[in-house]
Amino acid sequence: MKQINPEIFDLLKQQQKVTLGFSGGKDSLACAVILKALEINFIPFYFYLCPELFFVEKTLTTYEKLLDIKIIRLPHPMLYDFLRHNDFMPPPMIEYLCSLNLPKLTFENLVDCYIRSTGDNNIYYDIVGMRASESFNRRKFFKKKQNGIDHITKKIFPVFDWNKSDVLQLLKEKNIPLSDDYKIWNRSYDAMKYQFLFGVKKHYPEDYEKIKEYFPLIDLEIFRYDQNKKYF
Amino acid sequence: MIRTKSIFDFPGIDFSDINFNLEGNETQKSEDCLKNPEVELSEEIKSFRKKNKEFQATNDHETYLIVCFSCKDDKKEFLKNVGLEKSHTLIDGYEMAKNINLKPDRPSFKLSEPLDK
Repeated sequence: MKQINPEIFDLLKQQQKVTLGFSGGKDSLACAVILKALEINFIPFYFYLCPELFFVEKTLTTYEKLLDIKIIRLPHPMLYDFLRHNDFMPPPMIEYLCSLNLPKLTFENLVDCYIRSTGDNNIYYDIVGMRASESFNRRKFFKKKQNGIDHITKKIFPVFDWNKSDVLQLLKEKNIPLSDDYKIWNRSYDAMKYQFLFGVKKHYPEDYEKIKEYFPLIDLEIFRYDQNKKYF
Repeated sequence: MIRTKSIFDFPGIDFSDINFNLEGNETQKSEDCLKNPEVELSEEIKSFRKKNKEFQATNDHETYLIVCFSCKDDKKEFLKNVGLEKSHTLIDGYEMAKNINLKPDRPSFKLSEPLDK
């Protein structure tokens, strides 16, 4: 089994607590498994694009049981962006949403708010399940962080130098299954795009209706693809 | 394509007297601009500042809805289903694109396939 970089190992062992962005995808799952194995106290966060989706909840509760963790659900910064930009909103909603003056938030803002709400004023290292082999952009990103650590932004990337098979092997050895998202999309659900929405509509029609509750004109995203298809 | 990309609340920009028929006045304007671009630009800025000042003096904010339609039927369908209020001004992106010869009748690239297996 692939080992984590010794520098990362040493730094992780020094931490009293860390946070983890938990998307439900294989890489963040591998990070959670690593943290559990190293007996490091961590707070996993899931950032939802649309609240209360059944298939997302199913994934999260499954991993909560398997890993004996409590995953904190927070709104995704992109959810605020969608609402601020009035994406997929009918005109009657626009005035109301504009009147809310929703702020532009980052992951760090949201995590910080949550931690402070628990009465804890510390700032912890954040564990991120990004890998250099995922894409050229990621490779470029890690060129400057060759040990998978960024002390300035306080981020640690334990699987930065792993490839896909290393991650899958770890999960297999620890008996941790991939979520149902992989059966449908071959990756974790993480966007409000037609690429995912066809699958949501087909496999989780009730969740699709829930997305429509929040984004009434979401059908247009599917319509966009259908219209484009006519020409090619 | 019907897509309500955004409703823009443009503070400081008054669209009411902009002529979107770019084949007419704007072409002439461009030729003038080529002759003396600096003069043209400074006049534009002056005019914009004046309008901006006038706009800021009023407390009214109008909401503009910019929608790009792929065809007239889409537009009809949209207007039938989405009620526009008096304070909303619809700017038809499809018509605008046609006026500046962008050939909006067909998409310029193919979208990737959905991720479903």
